[in-house]
This record gives sequence, structure tokens and C-alpha cells, in this order.
Amino acid sequence: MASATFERALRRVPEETHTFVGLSAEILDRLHALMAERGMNDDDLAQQMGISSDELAPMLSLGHNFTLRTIARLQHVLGETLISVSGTHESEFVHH
Amino acid sequence: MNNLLVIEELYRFRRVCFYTVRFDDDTLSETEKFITRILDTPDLEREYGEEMDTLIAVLEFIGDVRGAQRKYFREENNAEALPPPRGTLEAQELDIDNRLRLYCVRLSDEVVILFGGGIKTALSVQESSDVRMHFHLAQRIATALDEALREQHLKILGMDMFSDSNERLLYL
Repeated sequence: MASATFERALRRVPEETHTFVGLSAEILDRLHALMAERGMNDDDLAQQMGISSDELAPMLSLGHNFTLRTIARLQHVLGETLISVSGTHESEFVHH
Repeated sequence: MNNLLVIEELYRFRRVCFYTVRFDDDTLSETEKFITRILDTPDLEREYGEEMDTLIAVLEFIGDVRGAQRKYFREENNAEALPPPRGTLEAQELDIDNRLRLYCVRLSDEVVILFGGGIKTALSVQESSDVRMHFHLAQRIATALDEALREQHLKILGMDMFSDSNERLLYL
């Protein structure tokens, strides 16, 4: 039988939080796929971004609130688009 | 302190059943105590309510959409802990960017047992008084769980967990 406490906690979650978690998972999937394509591990990415592994770790966790600045930095390091904006061409956002 | 734990179903999603543990003489499970402490204490709800919402949304996302993949869980950063004996289950936590820590053990893509949790205020467990006790309890439960599974007092089939007695019990 489901826990009433857990059901209450589930009911209060705003719809936007579900969207946020889903978006963060999709960005993470894309990030991991690009890292795998380039044979990069977490330490390599941290080094190329000029940050420590401890600073990178939260970005590789679900529910990380990526800033546009961080996404821009990741796109620059990886040379590929991480996210695109509806109605625009993704190539506009990667400066090679 | 009572050392008898009952393993109970917390919530069954489409792809994952989350179980929890309750001390035999308690009304609430360890996970329920964690949730109610944050949500029912006004100061904590103000400060951490949104992060609890995210944590619950992550559980639903894993439970309904992705399944309990290994990548969504991590071992706690606990420099003082000795490595567990080979093959022994270790307490884990949900790998989320959040100040709240919820300890657990992932047994398969379909079965996760959630323990208690708290607010992590420092990089290490030892320095975070709010989570330290929960982490150490989680480690003890993980060890007891490992033994119960190895000796087949508990068995897992898909999302279900069976016991060789009437109740799913663990002795700490």
C-alpha cells in the first residue's frame, strides 16, 4: 500500500518542477553522449572547463540548475550544441 | 533502541517500486520521518521545501520514466568509512544537485530501498551533523540487507520483494 506521506509530498510538487527535472535529465543525457563521443571522462571535462572535479560534480547530477553561462561554456568546450531554442537554428549558438 | 526493522512499500511507480524501512515500534518509516520533518516544520519548509519538491520529482522521474539506472545513484563521500567487504551493499544516495540527502540502496533497475535523510551542510558526512546519524544508520541497514539477501531471507522478483516469513524483517 502506498504511503500517505509520500502521496502528500508527490501532490505538492509543482508541474514546473517535473518539467525542470525532465529538462535537466535531457541536458545530462546530451552532455554524457558528447563526452562519450569524445572519449572524455569527468576529469577531462573539468580540466577543459578550468574548474575542479568537485565543482563539476553538481553539474553532472539530476536537478542541476544550469545557467546559460555554464551551457555556453560547455558548448564551447565540446564544440557542439547542448540545447537549442525553438524557432532558431542551433548553429547560431556554437562559435567554432 | 529497537533493532528490528520492517521493510515496507513506500510507492510503486510504473518502472520502480520504492521500499522503505520502519523500526518495528515506530509509526512512520525512516523516509516518511525525513519528508515530514522538512515539510511540516515551517522554518525548514521555507528553506528546503523547494528542494524536497525536486527530490520527490526526481523519484517520480526515475520511478515512472527512466527506471532506477545505476547512474542516478552514488556512494556517499565519506572519507572516514572503511571500504566495505567485497560484494557487500553500501549505502548510496540519490545523485541530485540538492542540499538534502536521501540515503538508499539500489537493488536493481526496479527496486530501491529508501532510508532516512537530512540536510547536508558540509562537504563530508562527518562534518554534517544533520546527516551523519542517518548515513551511519543507512550503512548498518545496507549491511543487514546484504546478509538477508545472501542468505535468501529476502528475495527480489521484478518489482516485488519476498520474505521467508510473514513480514519482510531486518535485524540490525
